[in-house]
Amino acid sequence: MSNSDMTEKLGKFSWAQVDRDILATLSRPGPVYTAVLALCFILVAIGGISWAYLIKTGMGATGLNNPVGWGSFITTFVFWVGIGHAGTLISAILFLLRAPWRTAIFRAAEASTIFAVATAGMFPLIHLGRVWTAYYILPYPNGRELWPNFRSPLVWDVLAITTYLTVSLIFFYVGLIPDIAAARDRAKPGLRKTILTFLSLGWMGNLQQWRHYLAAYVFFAALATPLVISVHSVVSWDFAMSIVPGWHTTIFAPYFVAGAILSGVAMVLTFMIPLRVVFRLQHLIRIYHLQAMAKLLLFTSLIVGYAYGIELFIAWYSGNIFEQEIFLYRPTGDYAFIYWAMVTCNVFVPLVFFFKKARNSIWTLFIVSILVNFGMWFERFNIIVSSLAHEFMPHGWGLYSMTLTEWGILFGSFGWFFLLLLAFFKVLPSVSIAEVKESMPHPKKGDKS
Amino acid sequence: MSRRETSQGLLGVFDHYDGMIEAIKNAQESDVEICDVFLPAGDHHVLDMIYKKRSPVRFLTFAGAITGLISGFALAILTSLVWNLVVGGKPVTNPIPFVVVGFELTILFGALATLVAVLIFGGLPFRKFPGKAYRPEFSLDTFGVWLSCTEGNRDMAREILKSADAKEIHDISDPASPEVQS
Amino acid sequence: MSSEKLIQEVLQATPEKIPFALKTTAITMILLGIVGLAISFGMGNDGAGWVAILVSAVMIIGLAVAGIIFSAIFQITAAKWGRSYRRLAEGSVVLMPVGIVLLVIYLIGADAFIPWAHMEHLTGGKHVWLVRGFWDARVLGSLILMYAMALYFLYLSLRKDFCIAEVRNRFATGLGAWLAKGIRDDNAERLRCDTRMSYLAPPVVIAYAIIMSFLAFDLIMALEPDWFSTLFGAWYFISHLFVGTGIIVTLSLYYKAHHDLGRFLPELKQRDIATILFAFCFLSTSFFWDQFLTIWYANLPEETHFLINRAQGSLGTLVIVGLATFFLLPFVALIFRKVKHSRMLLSTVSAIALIGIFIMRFLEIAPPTLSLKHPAVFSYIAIPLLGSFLVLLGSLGIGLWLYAKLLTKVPVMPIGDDIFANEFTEGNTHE
Repeated sequence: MSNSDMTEKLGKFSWAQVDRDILATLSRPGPVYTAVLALCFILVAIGGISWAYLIKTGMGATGLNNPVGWGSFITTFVFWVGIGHAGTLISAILFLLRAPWRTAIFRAAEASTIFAVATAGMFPLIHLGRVWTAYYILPYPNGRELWPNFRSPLVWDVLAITTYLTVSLIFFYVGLIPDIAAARDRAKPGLRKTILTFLSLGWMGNLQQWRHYLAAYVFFAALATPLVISVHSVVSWDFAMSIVPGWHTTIFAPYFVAGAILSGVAMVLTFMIPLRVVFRLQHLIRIYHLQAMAKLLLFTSLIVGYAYGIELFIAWYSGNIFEQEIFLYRPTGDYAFIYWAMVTCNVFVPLVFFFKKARNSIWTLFIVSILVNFGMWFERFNIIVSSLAHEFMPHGWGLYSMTLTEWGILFGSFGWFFLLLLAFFKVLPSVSIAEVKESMPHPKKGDKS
Repeated sequence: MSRRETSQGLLGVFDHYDGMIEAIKNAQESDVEICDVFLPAGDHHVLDMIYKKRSPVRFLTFAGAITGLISGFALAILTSLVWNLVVGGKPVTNPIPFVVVGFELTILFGALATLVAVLIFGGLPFRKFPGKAYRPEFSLDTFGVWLSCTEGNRDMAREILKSADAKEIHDISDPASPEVQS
Repeated sequence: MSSEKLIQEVLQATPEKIPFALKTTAITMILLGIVGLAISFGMGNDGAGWVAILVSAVMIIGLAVAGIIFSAIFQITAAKWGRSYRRLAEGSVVLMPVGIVLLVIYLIGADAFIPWAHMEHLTGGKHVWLVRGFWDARVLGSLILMYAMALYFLYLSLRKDFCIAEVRNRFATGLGAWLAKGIRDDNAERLRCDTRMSYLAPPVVIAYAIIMSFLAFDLIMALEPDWFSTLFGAWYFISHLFVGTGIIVTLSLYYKAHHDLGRFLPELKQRDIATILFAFCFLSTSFFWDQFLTIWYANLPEETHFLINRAQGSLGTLVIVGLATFFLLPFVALIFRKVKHSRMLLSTVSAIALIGIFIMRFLEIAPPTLSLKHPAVFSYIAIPLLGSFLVLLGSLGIGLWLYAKLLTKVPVMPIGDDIFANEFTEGNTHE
């Protein structure tokens, strides 16, 4: 690609300016940041109190019952795991594809992956009720004479999520090392500099370090890439491996993966649009980057729409009365509002991105991303709850609705995610200094910093 | 080439990329040993000039991945045999569901092995930081080329750095006193 | 705008007549195809001939548009690296008439071997969906719609090249004259074509996904009317994009080696397209696995009979061979950089992948059409298997001939493409 092409799209700045602008985001927070942080604390407090109440009272504090034994907690678990996928796609897959629009946004997206997966990981524990028994699932020699059942998709989930969190953390940290070194070198002597020196592992950017670092980075990206497909496939198999109508279908794995990327990209847009304004990074995170994400959002929304349509067709085609019943119940039954909100937000709303004008409009991008986030939560709720509420035998049908405790925990999870993200923005560089420099023209003779 | 600590040599500080490249090229042509090069951002062109072989990180990654694959299947199969749990009408040790376990551990162990590899081969953590030649501006927008020289080729090394338009030239054995400033 | 030197370079690399090697290979493949037809219809059990026709039809139908999908994806993503492969990929459209002819032959002659055509009670929507007449119109109509969209996309892509005077001069008659018709202002026309391609590319990709899915349901899945899989359609078109990529890789390696295309297809691009091949291998395998695992795990008889019928006897062995050839061998081989840079190894991997997906299509189609009783003995499937493969080779041979012919009538590289021109015009850096 020609350099003139890239500088037009990514902008042209000196390397020193890149350093200055990105490290400036680590300065003392302003009033907007502080207000949002306070809100997040409040939400986390609500979530914490709700969880404490749940542990004390028991699972009866939720709306879970027969037949709906999985509800908002599993919905939110799948939602947060899905959010994490965009970060890995942007940082790993787009790295391997050498997509130029990745450089300015992948660090923040990667961070959102880690925090999303960390948030998601709490929900199986919340759902367990008796949280202190969580260690039962771990494979270690124990006195119970019992090993985890490795034929169960729930155990596959434990492995998949653990692997995803670990690999994402490693990928994230290793990618950060040169930037931590840059921050270390700009920091004034004190505690901050000491911590940054420790975290930078003595990085000097010399030949030996860059040689192995760049090689390792490719392997991290290559290893993280199949995780984008496999992790949410494993999560989808929590449902598809059953025989529940509306759950047991072969399309679930790619359907969930596409949905995960859809929700993840939407969430990245949701926080990145205010981020670039508040931290004055519009010249680095440009409309070009947001447009590319809008296209990706549109593409994954089309795949999700395809899946919705194929499921309906096959239910009609197959003649399986249970499949037909559930696909009639969803758009017309007790949870019809959820179904139509899901279809509207996930399929129809993103179609606006076929128009360039919409892709260029910051407000449209922001509003669509929020609606897609809603739509994707509704999708998981629709799949999980409607299928359990309306299984094989009519005498076993029943309804579920969320209690205040569950709402509290749901909002608490959002507070937790954004709290971690806000903390990250102030502690570590939210845009990759080293890679943005790599994508800019090298300093030439006569350039002034 | 492998990085080694040496107590002598000249460090050229460049504020432009082309100068660094020229210095490396001239040093290679003149048979002056390049001890190290410092870059604020990774550059494959520089690495290709210096190193003929690919990084050995890939061997550890591969070994880790294979270990993970075997460990995953071993964990699932052996634990199933130790305590038989006949569920769902499925055989106790059918490999089909264990593929997921094997796959996940392949990725996990491969990533962990790669992390170990980059730490070992990259010499991280580098306890003697900042070392003899490092300067904080090397993480900003400045490049460094450290040439090893004896008394015999010191002048040649200095000439190489000067002709490549080095902003500063330092004597490694006495970094506080810049020998030449361009 | 292409520089003069670039235009001359591309025109010089474009062969004047069909290369001898490709001609002899195509003729050999066509002759093998005729032998395959004779074996299948003459020596095989009842239905073997129609298995051969249908397997070739479904493969050719999918492959015919695969190259246009590549070109459309480049258009949508504005990807730069793959522009050199654009024309070589677009040439896959020559398979369209072959696919249509095979399909029409099947629709006319195979009535006795379409199981659902003689079933009285079809459950669910099938009693409306699977009705001869409606089914034929739907299958042919959707295919013609898909091909029409793809051909128009190709027309626009080729016309961009013909907005260059030197190209018009070189290809002044026949197809070239038709493509150049009505061009008054070169720059305005090229821009008009490019804009139309940008608008058309997304519908082409969407149409491909939907139409190919329904063709898979109608032509293959319906052969076992009481079985269904929601992922079957996607598995079908992704596996064909996989094989299509392999064919593009093989042909590009040939043209690179024999027609001075080394500058346009350097090692890094070769590695890139080999990586894409690897990605499609992984994706195809994961779609196969998603179906297999879901059906195996739930263990519902209405679903598992599809797998059980194919898991025993010689069909079971064929499954193992199929998995090894479309997944294991390409996956392991493409991990290594050496394979990605080797012309022979990469071509071999592509060929193995084609064989693997062919085996999968055969396993989907043959058992119900031949009413195989399980466990099938090898002698019962040997003739249909061999015959099907040879007929597929023959169909691909016709395609190869037409492809080589097409690339003597149009520039072998898309010099009308601005991104391609910018990359290779002197003075610009390129990947």
